[in-house]
Amino acid sequence: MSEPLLEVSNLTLDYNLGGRKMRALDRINFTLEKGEVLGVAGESGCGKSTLGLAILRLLPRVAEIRRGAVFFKGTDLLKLSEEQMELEIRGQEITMIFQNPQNALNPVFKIETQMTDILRVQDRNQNPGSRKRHQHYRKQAIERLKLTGIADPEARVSNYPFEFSGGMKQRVMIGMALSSGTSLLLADEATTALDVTIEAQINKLIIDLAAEYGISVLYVTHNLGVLAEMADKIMIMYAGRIFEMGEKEMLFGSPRHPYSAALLESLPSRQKKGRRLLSIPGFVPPLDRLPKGCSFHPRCVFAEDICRKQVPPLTEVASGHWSACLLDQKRGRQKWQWT
Amino acid sequence: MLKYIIKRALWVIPTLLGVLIILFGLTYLMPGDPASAMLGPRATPELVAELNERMHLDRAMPVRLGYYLVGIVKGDLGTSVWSGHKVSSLLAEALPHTALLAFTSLGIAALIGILLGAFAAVRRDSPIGGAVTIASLLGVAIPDFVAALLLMLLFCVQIPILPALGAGTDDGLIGIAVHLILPATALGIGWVGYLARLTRESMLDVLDADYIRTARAFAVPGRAIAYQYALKNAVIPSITVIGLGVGKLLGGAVFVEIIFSRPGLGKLIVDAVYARDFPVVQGGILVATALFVLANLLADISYAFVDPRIQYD
Repeated sequence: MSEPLLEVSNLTLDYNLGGRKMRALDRINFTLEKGEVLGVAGESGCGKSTLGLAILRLLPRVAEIRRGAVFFKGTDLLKLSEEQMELEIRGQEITMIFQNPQNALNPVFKIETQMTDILRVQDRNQNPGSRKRHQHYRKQAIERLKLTGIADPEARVSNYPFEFSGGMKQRVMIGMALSSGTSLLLADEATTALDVTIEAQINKLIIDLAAEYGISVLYVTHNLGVLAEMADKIMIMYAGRIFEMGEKEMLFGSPRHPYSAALLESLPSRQKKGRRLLSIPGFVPPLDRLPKGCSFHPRCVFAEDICRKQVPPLTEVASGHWSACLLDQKRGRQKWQWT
Repeated sequence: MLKYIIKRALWVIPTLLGVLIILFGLTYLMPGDPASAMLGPRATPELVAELNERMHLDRAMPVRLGYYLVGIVKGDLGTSVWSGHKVSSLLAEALPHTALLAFTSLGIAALIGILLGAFAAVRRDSPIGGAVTIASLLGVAIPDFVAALLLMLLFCVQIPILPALGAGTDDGLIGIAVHLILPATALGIGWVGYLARLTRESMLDVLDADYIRTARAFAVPGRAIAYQYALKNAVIPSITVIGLGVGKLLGGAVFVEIIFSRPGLGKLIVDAVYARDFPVVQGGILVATALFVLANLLADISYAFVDPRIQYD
């Protein structure tokens, strides 16, 4: 098999907050092939946004990578210098779109300025010494806007972000992030702040453009329903760890982890009419006070003694299907019926 | 943009009018009678009455205000009780000195303060950043008049390289500039510190903003992120403070003008207050207020240039 586009290996990361260490990512292992869409799902505070930021090394100052590697096209991004990251990776090979389009664009500069600045950086990093005129990048910016479905891009390019709706701002971001030079898009809750119809449109735009350019996508969301539409592979995270990972069909069809099963059961579309939706009791524990053993055991109705003592390793339970549940590993496949 | 500027500029008129009315009322609440002050302790009641009539002091307040307003429209602010000069010509003589002092001082202070603050925020972990932060605190802590006295002691007495007194108007442009150095420094030093601190704080906030992370994610060079993307956002609070601070600045200018014996609005008003020279006090404060309002207008207009969201509110 050829080298995967992205291989994250044993990635472990702490947040140091006033002397308290919080393990935000714990031994994260996964690969992403060219053109693949990997959906990362989990409740708030499970480390999924940290993952995207860690890949691009845009972490807040309190974060510290303890060990592990992020191989992108065979190179460990964690070993690159800051200059190499800027010159070759950020905004070129790997781009990112963020959760809150309201704040992701600079409020006091025109869309034109922000897009042409980025296009100029991209161009100069690819072709050192390039001295094209502003008009060149402006045209390029208008093309990108057109591509993302913004009406009247020639006029809109001179607008300020506050003159755009949230969905349109996210389109602008997508226009900045998706081009033929990009290999990997990190989408961090890209549609969470948008209303449902706009969300569907934006997701379709991301998937269509990614498919057109052969871009792989790491799509972080707390909405498993969205992933049913767009992801090839799914990764379920909880309190900084991977709980389950596999092809979408496998994971949706026969979840091997009680947590995944619970998330799926709490989806409206999956429930028979008239039944109450499942709500998992409790909440994600604070990262500096994780329970012993399996971090999910206090909320898991299936938990046994062993779950309170042993940390379950992520194990391949079927070909290409990984799960981190001791009970599943002990007894083999079973139906996790929460209700 | 033009519409916003015009709209904003028109607001100056009612503002000034309001100030004028309050000012007019306040001056006449002050103890002392201008006519007897002017004529001295041995004035006869007849003379006082005659002067009161000439200055409309015997008329009802609204009528006096009316006379005063008509005078202003005609460019006549009355006559100094003491010297007999026209108030408008006294002001015209004093104003350029004060304006020069205040605005050079503020302009340079703003430039230095904002850049220092931005620098301190960008280099928050380095010793240089820390040094800037401490130095700016020191600047804030020193009152104008103390700075003025210390500077005078240092550069006019210990190392006599700069002139201590006057405005240097007889020595041409270079003379004016040299005479401006110490007063402008004394007046601006606190502003440098204050604006540096303010800019540092807001810059630290802005540097954590999502749109800065976006720029970093797209490899916009660090210097452009800091001094263009972030600074344009971080400078907004400083503009407000500068606009509102012009009043304080003019207050500081009074001390500095007196210490350095510079002619100017501050000295004119203070002397007039001691002498109960009401027309000069009124005219002087009116002009000071107008300066203040004008500075606020400029601040609001530059707001709209920095932050495009403003003009649409």
